[in-house]
Amino acid sequence: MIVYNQALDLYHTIFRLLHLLNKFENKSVIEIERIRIWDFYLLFPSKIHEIKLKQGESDIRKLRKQFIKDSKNPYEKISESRKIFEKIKPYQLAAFNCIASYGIIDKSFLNQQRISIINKEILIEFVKNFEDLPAKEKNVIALMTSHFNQISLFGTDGLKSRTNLLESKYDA
Amino acid sequence: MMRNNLFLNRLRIYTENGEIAYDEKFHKGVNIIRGDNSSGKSTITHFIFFVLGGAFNDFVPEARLCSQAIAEVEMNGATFTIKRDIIKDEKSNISTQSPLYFFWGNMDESFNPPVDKSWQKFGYKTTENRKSFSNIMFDNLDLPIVKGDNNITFHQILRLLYIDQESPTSSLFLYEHFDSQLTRETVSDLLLGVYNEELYENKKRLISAEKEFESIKSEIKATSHFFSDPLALNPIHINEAIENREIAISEIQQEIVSIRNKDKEVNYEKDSELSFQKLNQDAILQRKIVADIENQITYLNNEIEDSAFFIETLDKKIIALKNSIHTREFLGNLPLEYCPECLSKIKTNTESSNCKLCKEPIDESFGVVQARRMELEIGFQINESKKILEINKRNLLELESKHSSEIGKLHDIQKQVNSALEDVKSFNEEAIDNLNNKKGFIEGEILQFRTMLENAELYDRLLQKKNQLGKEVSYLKSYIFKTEKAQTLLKQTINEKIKEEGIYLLNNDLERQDEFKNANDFFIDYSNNIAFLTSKFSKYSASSNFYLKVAARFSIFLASLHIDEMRYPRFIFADNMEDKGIEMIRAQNLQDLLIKRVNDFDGDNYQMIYTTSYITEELNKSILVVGDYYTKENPSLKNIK
Repeated sequence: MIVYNQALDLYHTIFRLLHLLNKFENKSVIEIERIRIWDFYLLFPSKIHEIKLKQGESDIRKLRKQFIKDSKNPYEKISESRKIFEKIKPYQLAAFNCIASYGIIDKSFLNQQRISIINKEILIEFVKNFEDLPAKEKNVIALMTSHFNQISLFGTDGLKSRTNLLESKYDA
Repeated sequence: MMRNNLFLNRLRIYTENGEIAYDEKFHKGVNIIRGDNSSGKSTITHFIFFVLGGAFNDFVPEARLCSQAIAEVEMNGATFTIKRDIIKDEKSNISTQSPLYFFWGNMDESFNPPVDKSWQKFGYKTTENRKSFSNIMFDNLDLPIVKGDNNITFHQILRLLYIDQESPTSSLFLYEHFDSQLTRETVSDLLLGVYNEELYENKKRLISAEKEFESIKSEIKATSHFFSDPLALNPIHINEAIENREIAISEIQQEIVSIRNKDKEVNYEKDSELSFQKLNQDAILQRKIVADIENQITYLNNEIEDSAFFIETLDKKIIALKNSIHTREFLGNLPLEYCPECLSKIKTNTESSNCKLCKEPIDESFGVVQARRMELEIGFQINESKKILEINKRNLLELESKHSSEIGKLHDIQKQVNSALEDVKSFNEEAIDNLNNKKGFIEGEILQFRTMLENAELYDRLLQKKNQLGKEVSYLKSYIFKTEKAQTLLKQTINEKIKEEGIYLLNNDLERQDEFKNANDFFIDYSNNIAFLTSKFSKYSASSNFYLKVAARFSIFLASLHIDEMRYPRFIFADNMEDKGIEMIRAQNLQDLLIKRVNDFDGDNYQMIYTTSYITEELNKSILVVGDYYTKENPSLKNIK
């Protein structure tokens, strides 16, 4: 009955990724896998409550609970997070290629599985064209691009392991 | 099918101070590590064994001052790097089960890994949801995983690839304290290429099934001994006894009911009875009406909540679509610099109505029109859903007021029913009590019979299980026989070739053992971990026993160069081609024999690594050598302090 799914819409994916990237300045470098993970939580904010946090991160736990409410809407429920994450991957990669083709990010970094911003001006111009995002989505972006940008991708306490969206058992 | 190959390209060893103790490149074909006794030749083979996943910790003191071994290997065409740390516990014991790290690139690359590559760590043990380094090695060498048996590790495979100095000459495999015939048989079948996973599983199952069969036989014997009455183990008989007693209870119950009814009939006035019955029926009907309304209210509440969620989701999708359309429009106004597919620079095109990429004329509005239409469609869905929501809310209000009204009626009727009940009088209690006592007694008997039934049914199931296991054992034996027969043919081909190679090496030995010179038979018994000529019990001199073992191990390697079906990875490494006092000229003859033999094959298709202190002048100057000639003053491990 619901015929449109923004998760599988290339342009909406570009929209989300550009809003995430807008948090960074020129020459910033971020791993592709990290941004893909952030994007997943921008699409499905309720899933953010399933990210494992440590004892010493009670401040993050409070922020999460206070500013990103869990949703009870059954039409927005997803099971099999890993499967969904794998399903949106081609749209995410195509979106990165598209963003690179406009010269917003560096294409040579893209080949090394990383995102490097080279034209912040276009980003600013793009975001200016839109109304503010809903508070919930703004809060997701803020939390992802701050706390979850500082921790490692790899290992037991890495982002891959805490989110369980990518295999991390064999990281060394 | 692909031939299995394992090559060691390079080995580097670090000291505890982080200095390089050893760093040499190995080539395909023959590799000779040579030097005086006690100059560290064995240590190199120890490290090769260790870094490939061997469970080894018996290092010499110089090696114990090293911290890590790194090897670049090639397996079936894929080059990658592995490393393993020497991990000591508080008592300075070295772990034999430290993990292995993998880097999917060559060694030089692993020293300065690009950002998109990193090391992966795999432990020693395989579990249900975690791979071990053995699994990775098996995958890379196309060896089938032996399911359910975690003892078939890559260490076990290495026991047939590595000829060490420490194992007794009577042990064909590298020696191990806790070893089983089945493990040796499985490993040899794997490497010879005759391993049949189903056969292996069925052999294990046969062992379990036979154990289970004996266990059940014992249990059946014990059970039948315990019950002297055969009927006590007959489920049919016991069920019949239970059934009879249940009938008796039913009859008593009916008698109780009839007494109660008779008493009631005597005491009821006709008018009172009719009045009570009518009121009771009215109460039942009204209760149903109330329940129906409550169900409808619940349904409507759920519908309303569902509609609200649905509308909320549609609203979000409208916003998402607007953002998508807006993004498309923004990008459409932006000049494209690079091809989205290959990210090459795009040449400027002057025709504004043509696509910059494929140069075809375009109608740019199509995509946006599609999205707008979708936006309208969702808008319609929202409006329709909102209407339904309003209707449901109005219906809910009506139902709730009706519910209040009907609840009131129910309460009134219930009061009248309670009042009518006062006419009911007591019954003949004594007779009923007696009947209840009798009923209870029979129920107790039934409980006892049910316990007996439980035993009887268990016995019956044991008999069935025994029959089933008997059939399974027969089937398994038949399957194993047939499969092994078919397997024998391939094994024969392989064993004939191994025999041929073994006899060649024995016949061409120097004349030190008459049986070798005249040998026309040669056998390897993997299960019993032995190689022999005609009799398993023949005894030879120590040096001849050594020669026989080495000949056996190399004959497997040489056979693999002939037979592609063998999974043996055409890789062998041997510590010392001389041992047990074997004389120099005999040892050198063996080296010459082997080198001549492998020269018949393409050197790029196998790797042979051996250590020797008996190297000929000719070989010492050849391209086959690796590293320096090691001495006390110039040992294999450097920078050890």
